[in-house]
Amino acid sequence: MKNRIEEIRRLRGIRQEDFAKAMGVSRQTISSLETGRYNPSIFLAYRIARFFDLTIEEVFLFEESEEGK
Amino acid sequence: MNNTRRMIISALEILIGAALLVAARVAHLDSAWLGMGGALVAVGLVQLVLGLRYRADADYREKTDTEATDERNLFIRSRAWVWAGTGFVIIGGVLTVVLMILGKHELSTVPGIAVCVLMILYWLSYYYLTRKY
Repeated sequence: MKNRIEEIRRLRGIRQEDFAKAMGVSRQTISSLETGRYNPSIFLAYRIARFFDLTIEEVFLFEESEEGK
Repeated sequence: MNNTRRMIISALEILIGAALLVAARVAHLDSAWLGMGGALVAVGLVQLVLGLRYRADADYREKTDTEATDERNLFIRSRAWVWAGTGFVIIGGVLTVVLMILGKHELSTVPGIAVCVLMILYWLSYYYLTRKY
């Protein structure tokens, strides 16, 4: 699933390490999320959206064609 | 598992390993017991050192805790078990057939039974998990 994590994080000047710490995950997890190699659980997606003060839909770009991949 | 419990287990491993080493020397046991004792002592010592570091080093503690609960790590661990299980069934199945073709019928039962046990465990787990979720 595509997402805007990297774009929003860079816009706000937050380092991957600091963002990972705030989310309670490893830096590698943030990196995998940003490159789209890993899709987060609904809990992590919610925490990320809340951290940026946005909705899940504004951060994660759901496409029906990707469902089940 | 919390760190204190892990350190107690490490201390027990060292004690059991040391006991095995002494017993193997005194009672002239098979060298396998000597090796097992040595391995237990080594594993226990490494875990004990890591446990002490966990207690003393805040950065290491935070990193270890994050890695243990990180959802991507949990996902990867779970996938690795799936791959390992699938690989075991395939290798075990092929080995069983090859050994039977080679006429080693008795030996072929070992991987065959191992695969059967794994499949039974899988179905029991599947049954339990369908009830749970």
